[in-house]
Amino acid sequence: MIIGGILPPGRCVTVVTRQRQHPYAVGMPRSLAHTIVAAAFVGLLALACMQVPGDWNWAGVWEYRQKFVQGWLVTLGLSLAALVLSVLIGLVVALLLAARSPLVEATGRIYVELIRGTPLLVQLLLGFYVVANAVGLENRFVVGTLVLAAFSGAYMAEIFRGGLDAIPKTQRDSARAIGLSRWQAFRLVVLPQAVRLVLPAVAGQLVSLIKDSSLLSVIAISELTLNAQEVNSFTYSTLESYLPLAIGYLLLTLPLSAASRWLEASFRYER
Amino acid sequence: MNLVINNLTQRFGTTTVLDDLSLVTGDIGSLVLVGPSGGGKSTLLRILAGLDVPTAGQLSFDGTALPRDEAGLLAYRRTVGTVFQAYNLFPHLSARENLILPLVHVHGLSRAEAEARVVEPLERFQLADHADKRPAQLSGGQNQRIAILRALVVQPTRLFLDEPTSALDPEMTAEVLDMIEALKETGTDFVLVTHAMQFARQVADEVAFIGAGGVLAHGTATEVFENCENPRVTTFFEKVLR
Repeated sequence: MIIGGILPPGRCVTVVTRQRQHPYAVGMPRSLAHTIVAAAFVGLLALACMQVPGDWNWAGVWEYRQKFVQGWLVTLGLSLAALVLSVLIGLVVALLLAARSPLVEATGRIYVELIRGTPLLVQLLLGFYVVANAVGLENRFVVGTLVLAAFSGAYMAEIFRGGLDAIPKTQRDSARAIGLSRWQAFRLVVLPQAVRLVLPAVAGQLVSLIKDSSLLSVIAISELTLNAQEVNSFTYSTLESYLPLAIGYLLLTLPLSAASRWLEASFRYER
Repeated sequence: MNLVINNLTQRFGTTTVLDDLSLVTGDIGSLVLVGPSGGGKSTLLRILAGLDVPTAGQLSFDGTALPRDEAGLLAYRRTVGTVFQAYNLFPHLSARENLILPLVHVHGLSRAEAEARVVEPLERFQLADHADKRPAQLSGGQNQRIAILRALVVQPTRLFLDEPTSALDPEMTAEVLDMIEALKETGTDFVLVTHAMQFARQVADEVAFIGAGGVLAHGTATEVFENCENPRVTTFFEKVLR
């Protein structure tokens, strides 16, 4: 990513290839290595948990298993909607940032700075109790999803802008020289290369978005975190409530990371 | 082609790169622009190729003036071919896809027609075996030859080549120059900016020495390289031809 971003494409062949092939690696399939290291982490965590005084109360929490499932489904739905929206917002704002008109550029810039400069918690409270209230929007799910998407979209915009900036000027020149219109040059030449460059960063931002959705509990959206908090207050079993919570988020974020790696591999053009 | 340039000026901010440049060629097949770096050769070529609009002045090929508006320039660029010093090809596409892209998206061929069109040129220049590799898998020389082919397969009126060998080692330079020589033999008109002086002498119908934003010498290769008396030109040749 970094290598591809700084050097003009085509000049980074050897570097990237070397990094990918790991010539000095000992013979062990990567999946096995992942399993071993993951097992070690889980083992260490289990050891630490065993040091916690008191008895485990899994039975108490098990009774509320439906709440975890429902909360997880709500988090999944919210995240998916916010994920798609945040990519769209990011694209639009990135285009604003790249605009030649100072007024348009300023609009994008102010949006990014305001959103990135304030906590999501504040945006949620303001968005729900002030903005949504003023426009008569009452559905907290819709408001929560919109605020989350707007928040993530600001980060997304900067990622996209960086990706577009990283495409060398010679590529645009070449595109113009063969007679492509501005829009064709963007769609056929700049965008496919930029997508490849920004994929890892976008995937990271989407993982963040999923975890940030836990803050929607402050406007009483019954997502995964809120349900775990409730189970905790019903059962007084903090660890037994929050360990499944962590696993619930991993069930969302790990497939996303895997999908991103797969996409990266299929978009790879440096070799 | 018959090129006429009148009082061409190109300024970027406060920097004047071309200063009231005028040039009238005969009806020639190849014009080679030589001269020191920063003298304005590439700037002139970009204007000729319809990529930049000059600050002032007129120019015409075969009596047709170059447009100044973007729509006109886009239409003009679709009738000519341009090859830059390096990174011409689109790295996310194979060599073949690079050739096909302008045929399909600019010149309205179907995919099948475009694929058929590129087969023979790829074979003629011994690039068929490499056609499905991406630019990063090709040598610099192969990249430039594909770039020249991409400009050629759309059957342009003429080619503009901006230092096409400056980023290449001597062996690759030779293979690209061979290809340009082959263009010359098949009657493709071109304007070439180059530092390869021997080659310039070989292929140029006319040579223009561009320096300090103007034409310091102009004529046949022999006139410019051997009989020119402008001290700025002779000093330059003494340095580079040593």
